[in-house]
Amino acid sequence: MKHPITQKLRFLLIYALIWLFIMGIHMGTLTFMYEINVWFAMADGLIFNTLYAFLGVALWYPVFYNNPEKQSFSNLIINHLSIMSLSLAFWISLGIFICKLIFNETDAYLEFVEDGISWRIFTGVFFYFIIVMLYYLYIYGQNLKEHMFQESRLREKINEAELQTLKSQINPHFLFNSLNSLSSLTLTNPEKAHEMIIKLSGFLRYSLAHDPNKLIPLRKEIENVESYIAVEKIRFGEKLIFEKEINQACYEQKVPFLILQPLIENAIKHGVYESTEPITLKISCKPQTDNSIQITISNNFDPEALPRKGTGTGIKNIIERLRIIYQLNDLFTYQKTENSFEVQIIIPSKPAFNESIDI
Amino acid sequence: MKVLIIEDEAPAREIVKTFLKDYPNAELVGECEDGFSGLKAIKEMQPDLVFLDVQMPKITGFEMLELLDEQPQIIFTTAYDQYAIKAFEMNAIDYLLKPFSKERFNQAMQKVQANEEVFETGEKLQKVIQTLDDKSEKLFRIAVKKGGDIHMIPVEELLYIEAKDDYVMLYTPKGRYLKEKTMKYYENHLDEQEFVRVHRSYIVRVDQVKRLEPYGKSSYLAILGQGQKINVSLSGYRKLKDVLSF
Repeated sequence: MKHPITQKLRFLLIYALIWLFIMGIHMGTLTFMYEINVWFAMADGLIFNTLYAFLGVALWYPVFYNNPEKQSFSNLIINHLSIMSLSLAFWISLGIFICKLIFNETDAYLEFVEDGISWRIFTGVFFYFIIVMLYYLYIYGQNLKEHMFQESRLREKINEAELQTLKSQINPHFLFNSLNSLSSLTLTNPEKAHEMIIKLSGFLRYSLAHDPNKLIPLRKEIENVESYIAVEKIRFGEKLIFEKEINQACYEQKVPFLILQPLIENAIKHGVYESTEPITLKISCKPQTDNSIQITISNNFDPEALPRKGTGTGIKNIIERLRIIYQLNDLFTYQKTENSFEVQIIIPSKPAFNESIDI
Repeated sequence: MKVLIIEDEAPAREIVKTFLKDYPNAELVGECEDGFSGLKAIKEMQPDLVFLDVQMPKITGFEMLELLDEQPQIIFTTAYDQYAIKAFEMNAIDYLLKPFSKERFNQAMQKVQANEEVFETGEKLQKVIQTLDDKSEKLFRIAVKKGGDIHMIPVEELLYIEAKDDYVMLYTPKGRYLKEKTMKYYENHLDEQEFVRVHRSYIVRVDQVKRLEPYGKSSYLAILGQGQKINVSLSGYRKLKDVLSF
């Protein structure tokens, strides 16, 4: 955080003006109420207030490094009391020292200076209190602003992720190729066509019906994956082998909506679409000791097929969604070998925020 | 008329077969599930007409056609409509967008019967294509033939390309391959941050350039990673300068 006064010339001028004003009051009070010689009053006001003005600028640093959120209240008070005593002692002694340099020992004014230490301490404490309070207020305001900025950015990211989810929900290539298979089956195998329409409808309904921000039981996600696989199996037949190994305890665990679909699609795209040999796609889920669940999706692929570079947005999108929802990194990991690809996702038992805040 | 179907999805092969039943003179000589077996089948069976899917494992329909010396009549079948322009670039008879109706299929078959006529429109289209020159799709691999074998070169392995009359020579660490394509084609279909046309006769992978030496009055010589030397023209030198920002 930048220094609130010295960061801009304008702020520095305002600060100087305030001290000039205080200086004026100081001089006026000494001249008219204490009936001190005008020259003495002016010197006194000038010396002590200018010194305090510098001190005030420096006080930012103890305030900045004494964060009330990071230490106990008693610690904070002790720190400030010691800083205040030190700086007041420094201020008063330096002021008196300068006065002594300027004026003769015989001047009545010096006597006044030495007698008036108690009220100087009083005004010093008062200024200290005001300045420190203003600095803390400034920090608080800045933090609030920062927080609001972060929140709006988070929201933006959520919206972006939402949009990406919606966009990635139905892959047009999948849709049109499936429709082509359907058009063929209606003529050659109407019963199978019927079955495919049911599966495809289930898949489309699931994608369209749910709010992408909602968490949903894993059971539903798995059902959706199964509909999708059933459709792809009609297209690719024996080339696609699907295995599932889900621990019963995982089924009711809530997971982000459509978190599995892009991974399954990826596995099919890089595995089945690019291979001439059968590809095994396996999904498994195990509960972990901390009530989270671990989902693993693996597929083999044809090592001879040159990898078609994906855009990577699917994976990035999943990582980003998991990070936003659970506020944890490293929930997503993957391993690639010569001829297999495996993805692991950890789904914590609860999201970082309540569902009510739209995540 | 001998007909071959190259398509990786069984139901998609079925529909073509079903529609073909109305054409008694069309004899189905084979079905292939991927491009490599398709290539073999075309060579062995010499079909007159091929129904060809674009997106297939390992080698696409387009890459497959590039490797054929003699091209039979082709009808592309695909669900990806962005390939339409490229299909005509390949002198296809027609392009069936999946799913297609029986009427649309019959139309395509009529075009087969009156082949010449279509070629004319094909040529017209080619001119349009050349002016448009679709730059959007970048290559990620190149299919080449060498001594009867087929190699798929990943673009990452490509070091530089040299013009050889109507052909280009592709250089990789594993060897060099001749390909019937233009320099312009590769200039447009390779990532311009990775490959630069440094000379009328050369396109080079930027990170292969180890050193540039002045050569003659206003040209340079680029020394590549494995010691090869290629000419760099003044404009090529400027392009390199832009990409490498030196």
